[in-house]
Amino acid sequence: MRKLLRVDLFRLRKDKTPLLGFIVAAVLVLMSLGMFALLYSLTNDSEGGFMAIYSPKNMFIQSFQMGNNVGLVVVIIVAIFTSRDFTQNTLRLKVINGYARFKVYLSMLFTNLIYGIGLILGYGLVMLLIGSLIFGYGSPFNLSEFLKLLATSSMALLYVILFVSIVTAISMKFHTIGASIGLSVAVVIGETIFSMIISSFPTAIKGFPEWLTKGLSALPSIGMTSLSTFTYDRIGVMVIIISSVLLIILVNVLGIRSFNKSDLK
Amino acid sequence: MKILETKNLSKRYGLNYAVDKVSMTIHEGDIYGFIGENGAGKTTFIRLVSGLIEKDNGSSLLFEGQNHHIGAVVETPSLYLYLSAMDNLMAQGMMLGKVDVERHKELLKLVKLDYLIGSKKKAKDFSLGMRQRLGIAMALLSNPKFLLLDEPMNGLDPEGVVLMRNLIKRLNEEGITFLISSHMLSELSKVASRYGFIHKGKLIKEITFEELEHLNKPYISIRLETEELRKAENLLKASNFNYKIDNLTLTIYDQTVTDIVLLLAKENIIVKTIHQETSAIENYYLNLIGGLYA
Repeated sequence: MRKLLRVDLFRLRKDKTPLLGFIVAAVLVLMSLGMFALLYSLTNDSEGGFMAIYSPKNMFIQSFQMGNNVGLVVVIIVAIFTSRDFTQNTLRLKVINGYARFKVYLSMLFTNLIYGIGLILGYGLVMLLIGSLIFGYGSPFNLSEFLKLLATSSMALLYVILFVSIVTAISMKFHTIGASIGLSVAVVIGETIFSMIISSFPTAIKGFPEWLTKGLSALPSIGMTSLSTFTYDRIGVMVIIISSVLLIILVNVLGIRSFNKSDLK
Repeated sequence: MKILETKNLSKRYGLNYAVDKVSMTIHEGDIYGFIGENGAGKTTFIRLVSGLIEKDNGSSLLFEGQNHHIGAVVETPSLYLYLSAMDNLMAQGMMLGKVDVERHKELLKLVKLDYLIGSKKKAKDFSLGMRQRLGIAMALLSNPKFLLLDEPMNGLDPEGVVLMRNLIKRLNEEGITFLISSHMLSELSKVASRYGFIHKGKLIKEITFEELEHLNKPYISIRLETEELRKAENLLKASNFNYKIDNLTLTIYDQTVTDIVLLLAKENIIVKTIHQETSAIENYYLNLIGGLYA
């Protein structure tokens, strides 16, 4: 397994596609900060309303949202990187060399996670640091604030793991670059739209049960929204952690089962 | 030692059997030529044996259950197209848990790609022949006892074909057993020691090189007038020649055209046509499956 991971990381280092992801992420950082600066200068933020929503710390957490800019870059690059192992017929080297299929799958997943988490964390941290230096942090930064930020980003990371797992599972199932990108983007965007619709129910439907409102955080995009606006409570945290861990396990078990049964070219 | 033993190995896609109850045994030292038309089931069989696809029925046992490495180049060689030749070998070495740059160089020399040592040229820019040879070098890195090559001569230029043939012979002498699928039958007949003919997923015949040689020995075919046929037959019988008659055609084995012409001329037997033929492996195969596209 460690040997396979070494090969996949070697591939990651040598392949130009992941590098392209880093370049796009760098451009997105500049564009986002530019947009932020423009909005900041156009908004009269005497009451601090703008910074309450668009402060660098909010943007840091938002960068973990997979339906957004850098998240979509990760989705697309992971789909390409994974399916290229099939399209170039190099994945079969691993099987011919005697590795069990679940090990091949897990090695690919860990490599994708290293890349995905690395890119999103890198993007988010740059946004947080440069944004804070230019526009200020938005609230006093102390140990308690740091721990809150750490805990929130750790929970948000679960969603990154979930979506990278979904993209890996799709790519390991469909083997072609087009299908992998198309389906992965469709799932990510589809989930965002679905969550957006569902999240309007509590305000749109009179007497919508309170417990169900809290339960909606089980949907990744709704959970992410409460994390990025720091509007979660203890029950919300439990729902987010339990639901995302269960979904991660489910997606990967299904992914491995499907890959075990699939025929390789 | 039995390198490969399959019993009733089958693979079905929908209602059609791509491989249908194939029982095959390959012994250590064999170069097993696997012959069949496109879609006969050669590649599916190789994929089954190398673990790329799951069987539906039957069994497949490598090395009598002992643990040894196999190497396989199935259809197109498995190469990281964005890596150089040395980096491809490096990746394969990492997979095997042993990166030995000197060994990588040795293998590139063996497959006549030594000019790629230190080159940054990516595999995507290699010719098909270069890719085939690099694919074999990568397969050899695990020191396999058994190498499965699927259509290794495909797309090679004449020089590449000779190179590949010599490489296979050399590796076989060094102890590697081969299963080579090909529809370039004449080329296969220059290296294989045993043959298996597959048609519509079924293994229809297995023969050795010697058996094929015997079946394919040159013969002389003569066409005669009806009245001359009896005279010629008596003459051949008297001379103890090995022959057979089919309508107005005499087929004579183990003789030269000159000897036959001289013998028949002595008796004033008029020959309509005479020519020497060799039943090529292609003809044998076509006869076996019952004609073209049978």
